[in-house]
Amino acid sequence: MPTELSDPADWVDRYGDALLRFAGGRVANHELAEDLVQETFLTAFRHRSKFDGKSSFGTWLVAILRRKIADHHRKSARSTDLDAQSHAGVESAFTNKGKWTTSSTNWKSTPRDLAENAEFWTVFHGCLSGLPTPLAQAFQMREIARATVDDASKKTGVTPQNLAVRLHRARLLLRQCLQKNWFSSESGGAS
Amino acid sequence: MPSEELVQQRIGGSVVKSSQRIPLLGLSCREASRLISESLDRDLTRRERWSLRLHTLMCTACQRFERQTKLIRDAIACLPDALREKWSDSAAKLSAERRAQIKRLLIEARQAETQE
Repeated sequence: MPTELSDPADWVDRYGDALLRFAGGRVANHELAEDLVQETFLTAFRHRSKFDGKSSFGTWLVAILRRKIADHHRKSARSTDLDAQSHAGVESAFTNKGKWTTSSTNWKSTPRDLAENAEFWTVFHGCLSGLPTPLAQAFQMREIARATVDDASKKTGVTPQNLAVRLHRARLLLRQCLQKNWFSSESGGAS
Repeated sequence: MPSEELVQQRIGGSVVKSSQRIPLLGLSCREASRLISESLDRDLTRRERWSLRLHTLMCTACQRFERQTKLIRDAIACLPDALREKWSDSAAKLSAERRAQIKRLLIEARQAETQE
């Protein structure tokens, strides 16, 4: 083990966020992702003599995390939870024939109106954090951090096609949530 | 008589992209919403563009969805950079509490080892 890694507390600062991003794209919520990252560090510590230096330490940690995530999905009876959840969200937006199930009002605000309205962003934040983590993460990277599609799919470890599916779901669910909690009462107010 | 085999070969011979399979007419709202979303992330093919345009021409609901997704994007773009950065960070980081907890557990594990 490289000497700069001799203090395990340093591991957390060096690799914690990267591991969290990896886990966040694969399990349903932030807390669960944090749990898995925590277990990964503890397992890595117990087995650190097995780290052979053939790969980088970070890669080794990701391999452990990957197994933890797989175990989690295997154990959990709701292993399809995440996809089912977000899928249901999209499915409920459309009828069998692919038509919208709910109607939306005509949003009248301008981008600037919204940007300057702190209350709107509170609602927006609530909507975003209500999404399944992988969807929120995809949206956050692409729309808020303005990552390119390539970068965002690399960081979350999914294909660009898969990312497109997540973004589609995220945008549908976000639109639904904002319609319900903000724009339904907008009518007549803003110009 | 055009042989069915030939047609299949032609389809089988080239990689049929999903975009080539979308109908020019009669796109569903579900599909239209997918293309609207994807148009924010990549250039649509010519066929996709036409298909979407023909659909939204007739469909108020999809016109709205298109305007709304763009409104959200544009509103985010109007936010001050500092605020955006703060937001895009928060979900991609271990919380301070969790960070401290993991460090504490690791230190405890090491202490336990040295005592053995």
